[in-house]
Amino acid sequence: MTVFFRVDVAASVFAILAGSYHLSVFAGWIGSVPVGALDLFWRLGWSVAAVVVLTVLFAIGVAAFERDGPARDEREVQLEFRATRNMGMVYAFGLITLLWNAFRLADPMQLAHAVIAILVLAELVRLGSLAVYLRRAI
Amino acid sequence: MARPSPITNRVRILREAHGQMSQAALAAAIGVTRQTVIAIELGKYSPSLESAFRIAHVFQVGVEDVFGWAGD
Repeated sequence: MTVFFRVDVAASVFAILAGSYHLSVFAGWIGSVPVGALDLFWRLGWSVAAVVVLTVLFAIGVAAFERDGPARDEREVQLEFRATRNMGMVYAFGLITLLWNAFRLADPMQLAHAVIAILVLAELVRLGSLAVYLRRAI
Repeated sequence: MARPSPITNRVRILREAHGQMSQAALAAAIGVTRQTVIAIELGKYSPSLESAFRIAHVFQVGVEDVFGWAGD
């Protein structure tokens, strides 16, 4: 696997972990539920920063070990394209579901976390697709 | 399961005929990963035209000597 592919997968995993954390907090399983938009946006900002920093650190680490590998691989490009297409479908269905339920949701905090749930689900589908396509070798 | 490719290849035979060239060495020569060379050899992945020409160039043969159409 190329460095790009590994970093891409790692970024997805970090994003899923960050999104799952916010959903767990909202569900009341861990930590305290954010109070108001500013609190939520600060928390989201910190988690996005954490995802970026972790991804950069992972990229540096992997690149140090994989210096001789190719920068890009045509099969991996196809895998990523197909997995991203599947992710796009989840986004589309997620948006439709969100629109359908937008006026039924009780408060903006629920709406904000519904968006986070769609992001997490889309990344999960992308990661799962990558695993399946990688196994099938297409 | 992925649909088997109708494109056949002699990459493994040519590789072994070229001094037991490793999959990693071929991968490095054509600019792909070793996993892609494995997938090509197993007939699970059909390479791009550019990679097909690169493989043929490495073995100093024509593309038609490396790849064929199943049934021909």
